[in-house]
Amino acid sequence: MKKLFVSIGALVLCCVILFGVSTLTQKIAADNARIEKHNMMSTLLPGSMKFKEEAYTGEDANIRAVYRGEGGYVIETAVQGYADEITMLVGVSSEGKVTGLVVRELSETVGLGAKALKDHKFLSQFLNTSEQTEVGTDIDAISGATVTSKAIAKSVNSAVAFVTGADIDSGATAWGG
Amino acid sequence: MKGNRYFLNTALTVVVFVAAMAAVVVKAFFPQIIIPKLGIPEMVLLSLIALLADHYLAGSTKRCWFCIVPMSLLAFGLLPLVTRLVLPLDALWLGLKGCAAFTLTTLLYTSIQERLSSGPKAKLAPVLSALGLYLASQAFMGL
Repeated sequence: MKKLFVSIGALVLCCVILFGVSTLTQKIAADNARIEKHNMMSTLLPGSMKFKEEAYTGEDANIRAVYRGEGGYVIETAVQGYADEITMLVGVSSEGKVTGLVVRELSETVGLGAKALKDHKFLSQFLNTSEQTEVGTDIDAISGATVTSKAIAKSVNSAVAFVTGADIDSGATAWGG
Repeated sequence: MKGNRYFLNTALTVVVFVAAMAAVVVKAFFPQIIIPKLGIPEMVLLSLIALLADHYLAGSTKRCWFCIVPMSLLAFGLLPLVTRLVLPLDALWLGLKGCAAFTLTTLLYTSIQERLSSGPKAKLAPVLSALGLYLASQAFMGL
């Protein structure tokens, strides 16, 4: 029984240490996250150093946040992938051209959909597009991850449509299609 | 430590603690790194690391099955909660999923371990069993 109390004591000790470290790093984490997001947005929308968050009042459920930069926008999107939501930042110039995109959160299958994080060949297909793109027609899907590929295309389409005012079907459909 | 039937609970707590601490540090100092969400395969992986630690450090297949459920619920629910990376309701859900994953993994692993006819030289048998279970959990999630 004494050994059981050792286990409980270890759990309590771990909780106290984690809470302490989490409290101590909370401000640092918030500052670093803000700086990192700003740097990321500057990369996605080249030439822009200042960004201002604008309230999004549109009906596209895929758009989470809109940041106005100099010469375009960075749009935060969240679209249902195969396993969970895929959160992205998409840079779109004022002319409606995709200037950059990055996946921020993803829980897709390792070795398949998770490739979307770093598959430059796949992601670079969206660069400089200004029309609505479709996987299979305009974009080659990641091998074995069609659902993830479609979800990413949907995110980019929503971001482009926000800037160009194009009418798209943003409704969440099964398999992100 | 040898023959301690409660050691598995401590091992699980320490393994989840290390993972949670890594998440806090990465979130604070390396925000550009994408941390994988704590899903079933990750929970199974953490459970298997704890089971291997228990095997090599305590060397006992005797378990306190009565303790496994509440301790794993607390380890997978409470530790992520105190990092403030998850909301209370999500922490509860994580705890329940973690508890189910750990209990099932422990049952399967213990059953395999008890049937392993490994001699003293077969030191890698538990690791290979754990690897097999991890791959099985990945396949399960892919269904």
